[in-house]
Amino acid sequence: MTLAVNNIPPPSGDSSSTKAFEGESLVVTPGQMVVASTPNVCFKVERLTSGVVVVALPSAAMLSDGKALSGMVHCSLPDSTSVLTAENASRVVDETHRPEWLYVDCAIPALLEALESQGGVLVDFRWIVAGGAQPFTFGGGNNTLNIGSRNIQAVQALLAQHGLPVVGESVGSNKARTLYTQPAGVTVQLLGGESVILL
Amino acid sequence: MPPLTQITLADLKQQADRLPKMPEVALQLNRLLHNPKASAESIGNVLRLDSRMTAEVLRLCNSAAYGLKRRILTVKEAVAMLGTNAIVSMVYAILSKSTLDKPVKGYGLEAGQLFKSGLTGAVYAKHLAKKLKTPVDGELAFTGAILRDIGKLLLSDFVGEHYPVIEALAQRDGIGFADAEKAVLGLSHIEAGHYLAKLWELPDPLVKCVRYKNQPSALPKTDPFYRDTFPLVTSVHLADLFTKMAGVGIGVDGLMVVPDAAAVELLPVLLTETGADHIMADLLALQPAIDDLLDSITKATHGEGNP
Repeated sequence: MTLAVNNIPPPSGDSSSTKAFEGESLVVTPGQMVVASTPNVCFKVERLTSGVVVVALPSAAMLSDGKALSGMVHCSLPDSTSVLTAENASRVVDETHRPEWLYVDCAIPALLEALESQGGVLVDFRWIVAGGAQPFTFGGGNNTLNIGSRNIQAVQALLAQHGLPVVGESVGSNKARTLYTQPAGVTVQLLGGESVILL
Repeated sequence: MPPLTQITLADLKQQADRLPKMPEVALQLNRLLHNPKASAESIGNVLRLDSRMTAEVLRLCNSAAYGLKRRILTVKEAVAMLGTNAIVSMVYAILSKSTLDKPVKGYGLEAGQLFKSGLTGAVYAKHLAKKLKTPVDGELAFTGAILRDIGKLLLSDFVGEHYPVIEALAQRDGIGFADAEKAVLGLSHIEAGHYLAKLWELPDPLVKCVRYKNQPSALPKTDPFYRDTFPLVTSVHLADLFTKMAGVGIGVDGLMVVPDAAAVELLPVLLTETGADHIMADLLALQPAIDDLLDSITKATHGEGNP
């Protein structure tokens, strides 16, 4: 397997943050971006709650042309402006993680740029969004802990700004999700709930 | 609606009997810590009664997680270097590892996840304890948070059996999962945790952390130590919320929790538009330290490293 943009550690690697590979799946953790240029690459995100993942999978036309480019980012917060500081930017685990990729406003442009730099045409991908869970409101409708819904709004706004339609999504609610991608599709398993085929 | 079942004290005792026994050294430490003026020397004397615990504490002191410049050889040195409360929180972290590490199937937690959630919440609580309008002791907040979900160990089988009803009730009424547990099972993992905390003779502030972690404002204002205990329990409550929002060790109860408005007010930045983002960003930056601590505790309890 060759992964463009980022040199993912080999399957034997295992750290609690990067996770490396589990079988054929690459476990993607917060602040991580991966772009794969070969077929049969599978991504997995475990127990996703308020965070959000954006997945770009090749369309059938791309696959038939032999272009198996795919990518994913896993973000925790919507906007880095005034939030990302020198003090909280210490999370550098490996080359696939960057502190700014914890933020939707930095991670999505980086993903788009990475896909284009590998020859991808953004509108040819199938775009999938998952995550954005949040606790119940409190204190008469107080919603200050609505990071989940603001993550989703930020992603949707950025993708719309680039004219990229979302073809599958599992967002909101208050349940954790585990997401599996394969070249042919995406499945989301809600913890304590149903399994949903998004694509 | 009447409960579908009524869990009894006998049921809880039966579940508690299946857990690893609390070591004698821990029980003695618990009793000692009921006295807030317990001396460092007396704590050191208790620890010395258990050579295995002493070795594990020293391994942890000398691990990368604490980054001390010179090697610690005795409990007395450890107490002098890190302070009594830090040593006590280490002891509880080590003890929690064996108890919280097993699968908790009723809550959808695989082996290791309850401990990972406990430890992450503990580091978060220690950080948040310093940020509150009324700051509290970070080490105590750490220990309260690591123990906060012990009730899930007792209620797991019952929740697994009745999960669809509990979940449906929480969603329908917009109530916390624990409140739905109480409605369906007759008691919640909060009350089960309270039972276990008493059985283990935990010091009172830690019992309160377990009992009020979901609703600090329910702590009676008549509590003689209310001024200290309310912010302590608040740090645990907020740490629990952010641990869930970060998705660490989260189970089938998900984010079915109602934040406590009074607790949120103790961290005023949360009332601003992006205040929660700032807090979350700071907490996520602690991840490498949490990974180091998790690794160090695992090695210390497996006999790796220098005592």
